[in-house]
Amino acid sequence: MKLTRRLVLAAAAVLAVSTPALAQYPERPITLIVPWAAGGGTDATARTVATLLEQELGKPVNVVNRTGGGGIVGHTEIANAKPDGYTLGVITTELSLYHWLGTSPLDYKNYTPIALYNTDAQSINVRPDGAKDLKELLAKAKEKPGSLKASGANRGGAPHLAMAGLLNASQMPVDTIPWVPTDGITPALQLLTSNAIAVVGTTLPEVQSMVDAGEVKTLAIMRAERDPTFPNVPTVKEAAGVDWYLSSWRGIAGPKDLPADVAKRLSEAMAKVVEKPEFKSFMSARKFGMDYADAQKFATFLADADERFGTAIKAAGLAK
Amino acid sequence: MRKAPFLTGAILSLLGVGVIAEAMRLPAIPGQTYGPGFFPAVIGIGLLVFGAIYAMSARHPAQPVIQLEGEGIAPDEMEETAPERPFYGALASLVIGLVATIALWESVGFVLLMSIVLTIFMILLGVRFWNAALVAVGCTIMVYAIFIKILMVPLPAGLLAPLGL
Amino acid sequence: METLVEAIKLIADPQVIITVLLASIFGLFVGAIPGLTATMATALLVPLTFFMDPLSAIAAIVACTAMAITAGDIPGCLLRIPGTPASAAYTDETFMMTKRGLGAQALGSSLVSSVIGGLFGAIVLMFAAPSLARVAMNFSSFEYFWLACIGLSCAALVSSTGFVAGLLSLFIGLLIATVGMDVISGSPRFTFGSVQLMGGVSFVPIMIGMFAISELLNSLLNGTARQRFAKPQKITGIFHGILPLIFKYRKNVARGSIIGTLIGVLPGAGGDIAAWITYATARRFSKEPQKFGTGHPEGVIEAGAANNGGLSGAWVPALVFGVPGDAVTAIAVGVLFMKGVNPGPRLFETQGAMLYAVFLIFLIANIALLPFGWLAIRAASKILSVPRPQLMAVILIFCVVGSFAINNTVFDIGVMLVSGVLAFVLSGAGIPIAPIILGIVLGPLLEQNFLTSMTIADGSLLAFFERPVAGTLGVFVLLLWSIPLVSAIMRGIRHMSQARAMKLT
Repeated sequence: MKLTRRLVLAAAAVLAVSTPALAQYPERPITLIVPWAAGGGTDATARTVATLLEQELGKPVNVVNRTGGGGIVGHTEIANAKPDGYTLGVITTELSLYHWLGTSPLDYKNYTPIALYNTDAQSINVRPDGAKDLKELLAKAKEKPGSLKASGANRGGAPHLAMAGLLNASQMPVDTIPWVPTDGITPALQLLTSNAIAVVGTTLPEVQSMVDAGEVKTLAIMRAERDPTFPNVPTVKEAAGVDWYLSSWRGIAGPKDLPADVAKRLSEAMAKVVEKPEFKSFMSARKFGMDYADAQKFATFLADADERFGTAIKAAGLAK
Repeated sequence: MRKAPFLTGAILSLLGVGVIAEAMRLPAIPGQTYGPGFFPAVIGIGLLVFGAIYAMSARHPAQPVIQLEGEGIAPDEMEETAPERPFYGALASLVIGLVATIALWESVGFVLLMSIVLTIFMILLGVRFWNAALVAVGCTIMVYAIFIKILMVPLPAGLLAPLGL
Repeated sequence: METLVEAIKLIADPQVIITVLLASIFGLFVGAIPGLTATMATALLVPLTFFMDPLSAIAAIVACTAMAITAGDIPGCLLRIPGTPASAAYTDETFMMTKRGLGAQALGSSLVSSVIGGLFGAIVLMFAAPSLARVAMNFSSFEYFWLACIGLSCAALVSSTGFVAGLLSLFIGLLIATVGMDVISGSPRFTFGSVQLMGGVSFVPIMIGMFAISELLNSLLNGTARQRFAKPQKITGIFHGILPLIFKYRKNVARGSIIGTLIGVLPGAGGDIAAWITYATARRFSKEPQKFGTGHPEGVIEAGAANNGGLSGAWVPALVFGVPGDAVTAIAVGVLFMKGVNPGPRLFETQGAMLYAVFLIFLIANIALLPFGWLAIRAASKILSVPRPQLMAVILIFCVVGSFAINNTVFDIGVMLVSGVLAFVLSGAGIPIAPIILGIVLGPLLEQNFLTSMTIADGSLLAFFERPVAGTLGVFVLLLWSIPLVSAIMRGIRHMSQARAMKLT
């Protein structure tokens, strides 16, 4: 009997709490969903952002890793959350791919963008004894299609699409440099150093140690301009005269239809977060590209990324 | 003929057929001689063949019964007390309790769910109500506190959320 | 020598020492909770390392991982809830020892051999890291494929119930491993339209279900659920109970340390399969192989040494090339970058004192394992004096939270329940469980490296023998497989001719 009364009381209290007045958002802790595992790159950036966002908003921001399904599970959960500003998430590159690959109907329109805080451009890397520059690499590949093989991620992963897009933009069929799918960057680097393949496509921070060790050399970066962190690496346009750029990205977003005042408050907070010295020193130590875009620019960025990845996916023949 | 191994072997063999059928439906990938269906097909054949061998060998009464070392029951047989009758009630409560836990995880919450499930489970094993309830509630709250506060695992508060646990 | 003195000065800092102590306790605590992994312990430490100086930060990670991995054996041994893929290789062996009242001995001997393996690995790391890392980076998918095949051969050796049952079990594990989005082609397999299944079935809930839940079901059905869980534990001192045992099996300790460290150096697979391979070699070369599976410490000692040797080994490619060998070192590499200690060959040239300080931390962390681990084992063994029904309730609650915590999804609790029932049915039919786990561990390694190799070689199977190391490994594997096959055929022929002879008379 007592138990039932407690239950009723508890249930009543739940109802009372679940109709919040948005007078001074935030009133209670915020959950930040990360669609990738604890310990990975996205998780590391998310935890840093959460700590700093907490200082700005004055309420705890708890990171929750919802992994599985190649990020689909977490992304779906962010999109399906109640749009009250208490469940936000980190959205990543893969969101630009799902609907093209047919793995999930999700796309950027299911979210309220808040801020982009990181982009890492894809790059082309070879062994030190490999091609002198990107032009030579592409010429060699054209001469004997299929003789040079590339790797760096799974089929349909961002590095694969970047390579397919590059070949497409250079007016070559995508199987000129066939893609060898691997589970992530480590096996791909091993294939490169053990002379089993000739090219590795990935983001620059991933290969930095190997470049420093003199085991790998970077030919070009897929950016519109040179990256200030890596001033010696030419862009694809400079190296081979091909107009092609593509970046992996990470940003903060909420579910669709977030109230305007909540979105504004969060966007302002994020603008301050990316200026903090803690954030800057973290990002530069890990060599993550610091690229901030506010809510509006982030929305434009997402639309552009969606289109570019779409082009690459169609070029690679993976579009569903 | 030993029934359990025969049936299991036969079922696994059939499963192998199903796996092969499903593997054939997986798409071929251009540029790859061996596609995503290749490995499942090999596994399917393995299940089919070895399942069948296992089922057949179970039909031979002549073969010595394989003694299950390292798989559970042996040391219990060394116990001086004889085993009691099977605890079907507790078994049912375990399975139903886990299914209920999965279904009501978010809505009811970890502490309430696990306290109830564990209390019933222990009572059905002959533990007195007060003892069972005390152990169940105590353990549950302790685990909840550790996981939420130290390990940052978001166990759901459910109905108890208003208490601010 | 000068650098060494400098390194010792660096770690004599009280802040470093206190950090190592606290991180060790935290690692022990998280590792000993069933279902929680060393990866999780390390990931939780990362935000704290933001506020530490570089050496303390690295020291914290090193100490925490070593403790968590070793403590992970405790729930496996006492309650049959293994914590890592590696410990699943010998969970049943140690659990049998617990049932016979030898739990503390099982854990103690695996602890001591772990410490020795870990020290050996740390010393190898100190002296041979750059050259070993270069060798590791020359392993391509062709070599990995053969390595996975060697791992698979262990299935026949780890199952004590016969060849066919072991193989059948292995195939079930391989099948489970194919569920989800295939990384190579990106096509979903056996997902039945479920988003949750797209990423594959997580390993930890399966392991918890297959070992712990099936054990609960078993004891309920055979009516032993109210009897003592295990015989009263004999807790002997570390010096007269365990050291003689380690001395007796010193060959195993040596072999485990060497194989563990060498395989651990290979990024990707190392740590997990080292324990399986060494458990199998222990059995293969044992004078009393029939005792394996009944609660015999020999394999546990060898695999324990391999486990921690592999842990140090995984740091070799991480420190030399910034290429992490497993999830834990991946986190650690991130922390290194954060602290401005950039991995790479130059680290070995320029930051000598710092690097040697890190190596010394390895040694200290492994030595500290001994007292800390022993205390934890003694404390944890007390849990077995809890009456059986209450103990089972405690096991159940940890199974549930352990399965949930790996992905924070309730779906995994379902995976745990289904695996538990499946394992219960299978072991009732005489099919062993351990090879299923091996299949799940090796499935992706085997398939991905096969498909990757075939894409590189345009489908020519001969490519598996064209590279020198791959060719050698390949021939070794073929020999390894042909021996039991030939002897089985011989036995079959003899059996048939005998049967015919009997019919004739």
